[in-house]
Amino acid sequence: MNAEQKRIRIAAVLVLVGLLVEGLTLHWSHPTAFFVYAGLGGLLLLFGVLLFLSTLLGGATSHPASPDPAATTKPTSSDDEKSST
Amino acid sequence: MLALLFGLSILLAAVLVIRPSQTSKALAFTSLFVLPLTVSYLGVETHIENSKQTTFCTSCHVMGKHGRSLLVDDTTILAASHYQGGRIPRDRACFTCHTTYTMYGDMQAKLRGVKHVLVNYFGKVPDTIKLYEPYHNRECLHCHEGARRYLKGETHTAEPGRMEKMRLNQLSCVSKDCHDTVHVASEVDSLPLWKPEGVK
Repeated sequence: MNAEQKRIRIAAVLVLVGLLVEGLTLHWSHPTAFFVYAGLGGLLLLFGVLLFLSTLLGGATSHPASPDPAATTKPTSSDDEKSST
Repeated sequence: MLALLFGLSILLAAVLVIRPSQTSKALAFTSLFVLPLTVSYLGVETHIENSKQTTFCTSCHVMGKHGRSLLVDDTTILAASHYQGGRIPRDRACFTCHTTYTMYGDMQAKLRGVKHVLVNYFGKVPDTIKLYEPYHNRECLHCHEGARRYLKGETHTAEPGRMEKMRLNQLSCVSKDCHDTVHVASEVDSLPLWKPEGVK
């Protein structure tokens, strides 16, 4: 399993737990239920979604459409040059 | 429907937890973005609808006496007469009278509810629960204005211009000697309660 899949798995776990928390609070008719829904379930879900989106976007930027390997290695080498100077 | 969507979302998220490598990006996008956000939004709507229930408002210990005051066996008490006489939906009794009938009234009522919960857990609940602002006639007239009984009410027509004053909220419906006994929450424990058969 590569790093991207690991991140998707973590995102899926967060979303899953968030959904379970949210689902449970829907059967609880009490003012506290909404706080648990939004404060715990909603946050877990939001972190999961954001982690998933960042993984997708990170994957898209690390694998550009151009198949030219020089295009991907060039910035790295220039970075190295910058850091060495 | 919402339960089905929740079930589907949980199932798809579980698939991604078990086999993240064998799932397409389109399915992952649906499972971890589209469905969870849709389901969450619908869940918020459900919670808001639930929060309009009388049982919801009176589920907090603080509001218990106000809830019981709806059942006081005395129909001269405003809240009790409205509840027992079926003038308001019994399952939405609190919300019906305590929302503000303005464009964002429902939302403001819910935000006040959020504040109440925060005060309940992290602040100090006042000994006597009071409204933030004097009760506005608009909330009464939302139902009563134009009603025959309201228009023909002896005290409502006692002097010329009184109706207009009430409409403009210059004379409160709950002012002294009018409908001034609203909840009697402080005395509710010593008063007999109405026990209807077949009413929840």
